[in-house]
Amino acid sequence: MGSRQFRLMTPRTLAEAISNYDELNGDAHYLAGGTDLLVNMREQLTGSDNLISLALIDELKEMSRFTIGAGVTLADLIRGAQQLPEVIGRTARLIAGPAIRESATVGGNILLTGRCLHYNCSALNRLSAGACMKAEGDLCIAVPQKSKCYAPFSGDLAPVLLALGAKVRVFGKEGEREIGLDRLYSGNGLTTSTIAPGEILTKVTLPGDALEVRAAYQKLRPRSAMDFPDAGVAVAVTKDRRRVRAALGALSSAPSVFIAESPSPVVKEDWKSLSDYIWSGLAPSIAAVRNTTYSPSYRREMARLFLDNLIVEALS
Amino acid sequence: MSEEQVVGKSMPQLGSVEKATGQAIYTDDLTFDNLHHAAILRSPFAHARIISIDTSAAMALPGVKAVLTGGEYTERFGVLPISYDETALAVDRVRHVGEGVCAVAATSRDIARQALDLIHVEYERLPEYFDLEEGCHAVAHPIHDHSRNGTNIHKEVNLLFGDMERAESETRYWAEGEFEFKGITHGFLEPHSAVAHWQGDGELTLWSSTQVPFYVRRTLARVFNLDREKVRVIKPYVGGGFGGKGDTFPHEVVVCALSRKIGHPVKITFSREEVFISHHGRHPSLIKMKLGVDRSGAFTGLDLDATIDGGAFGSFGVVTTYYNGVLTQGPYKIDNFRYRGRRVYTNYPPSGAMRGHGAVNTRFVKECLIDELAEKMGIDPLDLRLKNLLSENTLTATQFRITSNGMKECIERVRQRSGWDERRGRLPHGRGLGAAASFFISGSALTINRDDPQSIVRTVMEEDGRFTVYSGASDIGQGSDTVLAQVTAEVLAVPVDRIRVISADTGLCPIDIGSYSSRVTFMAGNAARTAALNLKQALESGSGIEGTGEYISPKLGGNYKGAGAGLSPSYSFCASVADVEVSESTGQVKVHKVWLAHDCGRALNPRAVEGQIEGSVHMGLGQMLSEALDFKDGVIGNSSLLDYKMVLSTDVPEIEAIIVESDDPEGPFGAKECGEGALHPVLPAVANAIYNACGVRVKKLPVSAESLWLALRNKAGVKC
Repeated sequence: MGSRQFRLMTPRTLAEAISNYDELNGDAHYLAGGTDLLVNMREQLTGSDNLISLALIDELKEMSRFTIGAGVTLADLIRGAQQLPEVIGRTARLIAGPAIRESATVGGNILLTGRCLHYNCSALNRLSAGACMKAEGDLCIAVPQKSKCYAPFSGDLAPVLLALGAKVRVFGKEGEREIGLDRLYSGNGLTTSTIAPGEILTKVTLPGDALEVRAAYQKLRPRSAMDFPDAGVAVAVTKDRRRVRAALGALSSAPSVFIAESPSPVVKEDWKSLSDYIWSGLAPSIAAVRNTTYSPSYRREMARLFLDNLIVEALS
Repeated sequence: MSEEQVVGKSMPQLGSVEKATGQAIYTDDLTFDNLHHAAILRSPFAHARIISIDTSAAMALPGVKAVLTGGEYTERFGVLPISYDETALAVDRVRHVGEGVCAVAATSRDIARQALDLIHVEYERLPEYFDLEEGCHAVAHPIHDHSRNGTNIHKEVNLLFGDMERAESETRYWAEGEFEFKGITHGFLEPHSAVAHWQGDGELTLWSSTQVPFYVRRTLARVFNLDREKVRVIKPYVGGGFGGKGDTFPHEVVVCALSRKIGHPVKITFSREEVFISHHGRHPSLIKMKLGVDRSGAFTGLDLDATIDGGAFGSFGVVTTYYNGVLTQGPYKIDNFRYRGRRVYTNYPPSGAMRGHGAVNTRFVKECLIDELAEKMGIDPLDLRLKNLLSENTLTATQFRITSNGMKECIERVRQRSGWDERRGRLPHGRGLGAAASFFISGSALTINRDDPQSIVRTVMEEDGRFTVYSGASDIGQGSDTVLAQVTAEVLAVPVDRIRVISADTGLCPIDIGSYSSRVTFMAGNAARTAALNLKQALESGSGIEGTGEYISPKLGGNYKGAGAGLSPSYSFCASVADVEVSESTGQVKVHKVWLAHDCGRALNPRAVEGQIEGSVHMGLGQMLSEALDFKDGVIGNSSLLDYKMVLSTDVPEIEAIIVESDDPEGPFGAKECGEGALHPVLPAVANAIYNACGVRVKKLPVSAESLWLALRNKAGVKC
């Protein structure tokens, strides 16, 4: 791992940032908290050494009851969490550790590039063991027979926001557009998101009922801090108990969501059948392979267990 | 014994304020005019012949001042004279991924690293050896030419004490098993770092983050064919070592060689990955053991077979091989004892010494087997231990001289404090208590190099009435400078702030052979006490203003081959109880509390002793629950502190540190070690608590949530 020479640009507006990106012909990375990008740069995993900092763009840091700027740090998210659904602050506390959360941003966690033990490793390791297709190589090392990248999406906020029914706004040359969060993800471990090169994720917007739902998140990881999820499960039940949204993270290259709707309010006694039903909707999205700390089967079993736990908790 | 005014009283360690405020100067903080930076090109192959090296493009890069290759310094070295098998850089052959092949000195670290990309090395791959069983037989290309009969066996030890046939005949119950341990790293925060300055007059100075400046000096003098007096090694503040800075490392030789070439100071500071490659961590081990007990509950015999993975080089490995055997028997009286052990070279990075050196894994096995025997006999595991303890002032089967012995009190204290008798067996399902006991050397009685004295201290009264203690002892964060100041202040009957300690500088200080084998408080402490007594006498008689003290171990031990291994002038004793909860649905283990009682003879600085106990619990929990080097084909897959799972502060349980003082007759003011022994019982106490909680015997470390979940499923008959 070594330091790298890099060029840093510091636009003050979104338009200026995009203009910088164009000037560099797309040979650049947007830099927010940098807690992932800079580590990857040092490990020579990023192609470009041009960085466009988003740190001075104030509108990315705005936060209100129903919107969260992409540039809000996780620490500020926790500090301002009382105005947001409680689950958001609780989940933010499960990410990394206090020092990292002072830099890491909401947008960075939502757009976290797929993580994999065969990708997030040193240059010497890649030289020795072989580089995967997400780095300098041609194949997936975890599943060599497939020409597909299986790096799981390992953000924690996305499953929670999906369960809350969040949307995101994306700023590009044609202005700002809003899409459902579920449409942000490509399902491709190489690229993670569907937003076009040069576009900037600006904010998350929450639906009007987000403050009224009962929601919770549980993550599987070896230690109680620092670690990325090996599996993440979020569940949100609307106040009228007629709609349950559940989402999975870290079990495939995109978070997945499933919505169960009921003509009558679901009751606690129904938890098992509800959980089975939701699992039947979520399970097909799982594409876990052996590229994180735990085995795919354990991750899957724990996700199933967490779903049960969260549904019981939400209905209690 | 408590007449003293300074020793026995808690005080902050010397240097605490400097460390807490960022003023402490570590090796990487050092800067010099014309300082150059080194980087090392590392092998991508686990075992390969070097066909050619082309450094011309690297040399042409602006800013590059020198390139070093292995052929320039072929003198072999190592910490033990019986296994000099390392060189500054690989000579003709690489033996593990990450072994240094070339080194560059340049005007900046970035340029040095860029230059590495311009070096072209042609290799011819050789068969790679990672399997211990395979290495015990003749192989096509042994990793070293000096291993016997074409195998990769580095060292074999066969010891027999007493009569194993008699043990068989007397045994009512045996407990036996095969256990597997992954390799682990020390986890110190400060990476290895070294700065060398070869001056024009042939004087070499090296500042290094090391535990053993005098051994480093010896090695540098040997490799560069210099008089030792021409070599000065200085240890600045060190951010932890735990054994991982206890050898001379190749990079220390490399920066000296580069400085010699360019005539300017040269620095290197490792990345975390380089630490993982170079650390000399705990040996991965395969251990088979059998422990017997007779009808009365007395241990009848111990039969132990250990195969340990040495990686590519020797390091402390010969000692480790012995320690796996001879340090396992205590703290119990076991007259019939057989040990068969072997260290096998593999194409992994080399293993070496780590806190609790050599006996942590075998201790784990034995303490788990004791738990099994107690269950078979239907008696309390602590009672079974108490029945079999070595006494004070006795000899073990291996002829170790036991003097002070607080083992019984340690067990009684953790028993009482944990509520063992009231709580064990009455806890809800999934919650359990487990116990273990151990002993450890308080400094190796034999010096590695027979011509080295163990420790000399010189204390001088200065003009302003203060006193300066000169000692070669290396404070690596454990607080040895503070102990020397306390001991000196006590003898001279002056406040401790009148004492200044200058240590670990071979140019200024008399020799101390280093911070390893938990020797410094006992040996340097004794030397400091003698020095202060002699100074006091000189002052009182008006014959001078300085006093010198030396520590030399008494002659100890039996006369069998290897009798020197494990000999110590004193032994520490330790017992622990762990309270754990196992989630049957996830396999996750929550350690609620650990009680640990340690007989350190006399706590010269109780706060420091408590710190050592707490650190030992933390480190023990890591090896037990989450830490493991994850290799694939010789490559470490988790060479970062994100992927290598050290226990985080959020997962450290409540720890009750209990100090037991047995007042050792030969220790300074009764003191003996507390730096390593306290680690030993933590792992088996947790394992036995897991069994007590959920009925699963842990036989592979670390026990992850997933592996315990699988074991619980298997136990319940669920197919996985």
